[in-house]
Amino acid sequence: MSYLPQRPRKNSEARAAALAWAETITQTELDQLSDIGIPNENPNTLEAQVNTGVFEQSIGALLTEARKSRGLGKRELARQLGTNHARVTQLENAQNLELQSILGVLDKLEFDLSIQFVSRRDGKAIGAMIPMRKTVQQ
Amino acid sequence: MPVRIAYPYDPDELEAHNPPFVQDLIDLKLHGYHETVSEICKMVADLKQNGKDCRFLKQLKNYAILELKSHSRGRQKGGARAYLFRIRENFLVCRAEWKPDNEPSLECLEDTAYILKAFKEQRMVFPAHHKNPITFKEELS
Repeated sequence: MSYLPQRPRKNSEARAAALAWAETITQTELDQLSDIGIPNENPNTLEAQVNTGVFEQSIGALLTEARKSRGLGKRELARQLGTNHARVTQLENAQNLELQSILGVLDKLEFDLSIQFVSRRDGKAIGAMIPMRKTVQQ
Repeated sequence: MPVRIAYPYDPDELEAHNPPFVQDLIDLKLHGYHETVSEICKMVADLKQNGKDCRFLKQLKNYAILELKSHSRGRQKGGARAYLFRIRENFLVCRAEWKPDNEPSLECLEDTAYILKAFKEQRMVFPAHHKNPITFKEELS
């Protein structure tokens, strides 16, 4: 039993060939390569970076679910929002997420927003409900 | 000599939102492997601090590929694995997985070797848009 995140991979034959090549190269040869241009990441921020990604992808998945629950295609939603299909795809893929865009989609799909902070100490939650549009009393 | 840590991109996926290593950690966390992710983050921090002397670092037999392997046994922490290669004092971390047994996944090894070969051939593995937003903010402040 194991868990390996699955993603589509291009050039599977070239990847297998690269592994065979990695058997032939030595660390001494690698150490002769230039290291100019290699970025310097701070591992202390790695978990925060991961949490940001999890947050963004969760928002994207929820937007997809909300759209599908209304029986709308991406093109139809884009038309209602006055944007294009590519922007809806971007939002659902968690790219260039902007709060204003997210709230705009929720409003158009007739969803309100509920936010909850859950304490890791005792499991207690505090939260807020944000209605997207003021309810009109009939 | 200071140790540098980097997360290269797959040369075929330079436009991806995250490098494969970071995306693996995101996918692991989304699938409930919280402790695995924390353990891998801890091992990468240790690598940054101790370089070649990192206690989690292992050379994989037959390959110019390294592995960060948890010392914990069982459960989520015990199966925490990351795959990387070294250029002098620079460690380029390419993939991560949860795998309690000793054999790394072929897919992780192939992807790491593919990035290594691309780096050796001077193909781009760090796209221009790549900038950890959190690190970037720290640099600015």
